[in-house]
Amino acid sequence: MTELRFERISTILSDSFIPILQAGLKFTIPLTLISFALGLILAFLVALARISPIRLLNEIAKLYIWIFRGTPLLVQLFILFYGLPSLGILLPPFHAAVIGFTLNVGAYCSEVVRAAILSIKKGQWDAAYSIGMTSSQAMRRIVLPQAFRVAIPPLSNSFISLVKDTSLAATITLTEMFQKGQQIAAVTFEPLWLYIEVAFIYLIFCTVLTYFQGKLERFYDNKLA
Amino acid sequence: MFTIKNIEKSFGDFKALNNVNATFEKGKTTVIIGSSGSGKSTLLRCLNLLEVPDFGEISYDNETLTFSKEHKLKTNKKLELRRRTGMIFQSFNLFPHLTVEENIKEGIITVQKRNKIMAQQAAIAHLEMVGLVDQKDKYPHQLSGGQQQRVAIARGMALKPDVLLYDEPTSALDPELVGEVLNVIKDLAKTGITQIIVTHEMKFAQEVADHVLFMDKGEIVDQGNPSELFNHSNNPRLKQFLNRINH
Ligand SMILES: Nc1ncnc2c1ncn2[C@@H]1O[C@H](COP(=O)(O)OP(=O)(O)OP(=O)(O)O)[C@@H](O)[C@H]1O
Ligand SMILES: [Mg+2]
Repeated sequence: MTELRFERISTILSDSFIPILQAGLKFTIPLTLISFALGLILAFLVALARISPIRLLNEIAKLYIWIFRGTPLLVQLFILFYGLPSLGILLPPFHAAVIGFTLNVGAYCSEVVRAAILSIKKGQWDAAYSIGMTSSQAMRRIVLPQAFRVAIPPLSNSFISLVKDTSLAATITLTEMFQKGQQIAAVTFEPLWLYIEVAFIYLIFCTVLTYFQGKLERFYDNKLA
Repeated sequence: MFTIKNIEKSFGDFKALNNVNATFEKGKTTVIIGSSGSGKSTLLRCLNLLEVPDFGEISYDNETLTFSKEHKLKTNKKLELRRRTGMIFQSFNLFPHLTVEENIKEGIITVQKRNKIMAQQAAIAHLEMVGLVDQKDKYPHQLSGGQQQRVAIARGMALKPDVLLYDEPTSALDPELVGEVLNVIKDLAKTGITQIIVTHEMKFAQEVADHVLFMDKGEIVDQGNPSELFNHSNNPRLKQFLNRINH
């Protein structure tokens, strides 16, 4: 590599670092946080439907999980963004992305939440009922806090996957980090270095998240043994 | 007084309780004995509706609950009865995510909706009763089995139930820890609370019981005061059971 070329690349990388990071802060992170929060709520409701003795709820939940786990996320995003307009439903890219990721998180995490709730021993329910709790009190006060600890590692994995999956939103015209990187690569003709830079920023995001996951787990372990 | 009439309970095709009748006197301690699988736990769990009987009646105070396959019991009736009973489990079942003190306060705050200060006072008072005030900030896993079971008793008592139900409260304990739990139960018996205890500790049963029920194959086959039952019963099944357990 000549000195001139090296200088050129380092200028491009340092000039592009802030715009890419900004795209991350403006789109990737909000998209991840909003989708994950909504997705968890959905996952919880779907898990309850799966556990419930009501047959119809059960079947609806299963159908939903089946569809969203059995089809590619990319295809789901295309249906939402490019497909729905033909039914007269026009979604801005950010909205379409939030809906797509939420539905996906909801499907995957509902199984995690369900397994975590079912992992709590029957004796805990018995004890909660024996002190006079209603089922929803027992769920809220006794079972969920314990199930939450069980669910932290798998949910964290889903969360970290989601950070990376948001790069798919580039395909529906959202200028998140990856799209930004693409744009800069296209005008500078340095795809290798640009995409490595993008990868590096994702890596930083995920490393920070993994660090907090560890903290959260240890916080609960100290309480629960 | 707590009366049950013609209680039946099946699990699938298996009849765990068959036409069980009994009266539990106020302020007395009743001990239920019987071999494994005879339906002792099922009966106890029917008394606070952790299992709902298929048929029969449970009466307490002026209230009578009637069970049948056709009529589903209303949830508020279920809760009402549960809130008059406390239960102590073989495996303690303390809430592992709460401290000892929080375990006791939980029901007072969430179920009885009393304020935090009253809950705290009740927790401390009941921990004093079982000799564990100094452990109040620990989590259950930091306590011995005997201590955990005493906390469970305090948790049950703090809700001021009319009846305390114990399902083999010492069976999961190391032998050297059994005594401390039995002593707490004996002390409680003297305070005039109504207790119903399933146990395999025959010596303890003789000491603490006012009345003993012997169950076999889902039925109460003999009952009486402890000296009658343990020493002078003519029931062959009871004799066989006592023989087996004493050897
Ligand atoms: N939830 C259940 N589902 C199916 N069968 C059950 C259930 N609970 C109890 N049984 C059956 O009912 C019978 C009575 O059980 P129960 O637990 O009341 O006996 P027990 O007298 O308490 O015995 P042990 O001394 O072993 O605790 C047993 O044969 C048991 O297998
Ligand atoms: Mg039992």
